[in-house]
Amino acid sequence: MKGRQRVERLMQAVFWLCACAAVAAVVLICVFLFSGGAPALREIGVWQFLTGVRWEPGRERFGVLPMIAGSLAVTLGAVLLGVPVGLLTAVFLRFFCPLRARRVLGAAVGLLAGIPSVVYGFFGLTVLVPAVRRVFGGSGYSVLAVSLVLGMMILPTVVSVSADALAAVEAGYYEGARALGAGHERSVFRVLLPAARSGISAAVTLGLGRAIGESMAVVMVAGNQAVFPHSPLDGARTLTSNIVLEMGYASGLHADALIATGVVLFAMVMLNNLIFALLRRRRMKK
Amino acid sequence: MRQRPACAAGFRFPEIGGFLYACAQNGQTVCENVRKIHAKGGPAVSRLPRRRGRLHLPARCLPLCLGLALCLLCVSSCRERPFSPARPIHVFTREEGSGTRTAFEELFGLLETDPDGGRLSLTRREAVVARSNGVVLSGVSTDPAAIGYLSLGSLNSAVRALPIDGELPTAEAVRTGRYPAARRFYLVTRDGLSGPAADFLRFVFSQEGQRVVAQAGYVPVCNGEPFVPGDVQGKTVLVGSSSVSPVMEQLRDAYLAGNPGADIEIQTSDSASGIRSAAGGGCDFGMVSRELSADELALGLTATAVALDGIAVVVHPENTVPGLSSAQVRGIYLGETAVWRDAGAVP
Repeated sequence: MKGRQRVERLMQAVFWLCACAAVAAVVLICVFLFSGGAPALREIGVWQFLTGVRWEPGRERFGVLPMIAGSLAVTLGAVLLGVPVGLLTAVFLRFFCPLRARRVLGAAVGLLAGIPSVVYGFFGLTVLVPAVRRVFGGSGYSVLAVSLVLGMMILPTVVSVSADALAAVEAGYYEGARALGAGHERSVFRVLLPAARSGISAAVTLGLGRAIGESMAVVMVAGNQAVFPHSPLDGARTLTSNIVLEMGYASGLHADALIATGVVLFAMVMLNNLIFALLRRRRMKK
Repeated sequence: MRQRPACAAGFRFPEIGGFLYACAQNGQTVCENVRKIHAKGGPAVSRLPRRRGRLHLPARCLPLCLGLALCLLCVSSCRERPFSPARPIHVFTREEGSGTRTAFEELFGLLETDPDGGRLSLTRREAVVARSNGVVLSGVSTDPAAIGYLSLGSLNSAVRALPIDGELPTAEAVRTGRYPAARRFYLVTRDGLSGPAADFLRFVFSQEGQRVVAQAGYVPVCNGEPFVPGDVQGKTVLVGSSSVSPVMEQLRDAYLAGNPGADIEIQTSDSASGIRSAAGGGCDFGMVSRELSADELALGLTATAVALDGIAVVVHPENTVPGLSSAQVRGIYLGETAVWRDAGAVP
């Protein structure tokens, strides 16, 4: 009996340790980011850093506004392209799809989540960039091409989360709508979809988080110019690709400025997660 | 708030007015009534829809597939626009840590140096930044309006190398110095080379090693002695430039053929990383494709030139530009020349 208790206690300690490890990782990353980024932010000046429009490491001029704009542009594009498709896919899978096809389609969407981002990037580089160039002109390395790639990458997130949200709607809503004479389509689009609203906005927020943090695929198709994108056909550099491009050789203030870029990115993702948490809390309250 | 959509949807259908009226009479809500009907085994829709008998899957998928096929057809029928002198120039460059970029900018006067040591790249900011010679190659080989630059050794027939100042980039022109854009490849080391690393360096400068350099399309720096393989065991690590790594890979293969006991690892990034890694002791050799700056030499590194390389300015094979002068290349990369006609393309 005593031995068993001892094992019990030991296992408890192990589980505690595991839980602490996860928290410690987050804390360590935060500490690293902020302690690494703070000196650069102090030296450059937070305001200067956030609103500067020129990124010239050779001259120690660091302004990330074009990268913030680039990140926001590609994320917005990804959401605009990915969310409608993802949402309609979820609706189709849940309400319109025959069972057998649902299995296949569901597995295909799941598979999309398993493709490494480098492969998405390569696909973008060899297929989407030339396609954008042919159809719209320009060099093809553009916000549009990145948005297409990212739109594809956020599909699995959007589909699975919004499908769950739709599944969580009480069956009574559908039944009530049908009983009142609304057709299948009308019940789904006018009753179930609005009822799953908060879950769907959570799906959008999660997709957004995924899009804003992606780097590998983006760096291959974005063109990476550190200037403001004026149209969807202009290239852009995102916060993530700025880090990926330059971290290999940066030193001194330049390296610190890249870590500070990471801080900005971190803050943006945190803000996004906060919004997600608030949305979820609102849904829980209901 | 939740009930409203259901009822609102229902109200548009006059035929259920009677049902609603009955509900109101009994003082019950609509939804309660509906549940009761279901509880008695009424119209079963609680299991979400399996709509049988309307359209079979193939029939439903057909319009979808047709639509998709049509879209694909549209996109693929959009041919690549042919080259014309009126098209704007799409400029490809490399990231700032790249030795090829630094060498290119130094050679064509695209680098402005401040008195306090700051360096400013004058390359137009709208240029697409590619992360390696390979990305430049794939970009330029698919876009008729593109221009880029890459290492002579990475050149292949998918792109056309332009004569600069009337001279095509060939190993011969680079060796004699007639081709204006040439630079050296360096292996940088700290003091105290390990045994295997010193043996590999000896091979690089041997007759066999320099023959490999020449076969790879670069220019040898010396006519070395014949190499006598020693019995070497151990690992050598090389880090750095993506321009240097292809020739190093060939040198490695040739070296390992004679020294099966040795092991050589090549990590490709860029020149600046190679220098940092060598200075920090992260590798035996840093591969560098440009001259070292004064700061970098002050780190206590020794740079040994292992090959000469030209930087080829490349365009799409369809491009009709006969050749460019150094000043024209500079104009294009500064952004002063925006259209191919101004760069001398013939219709």
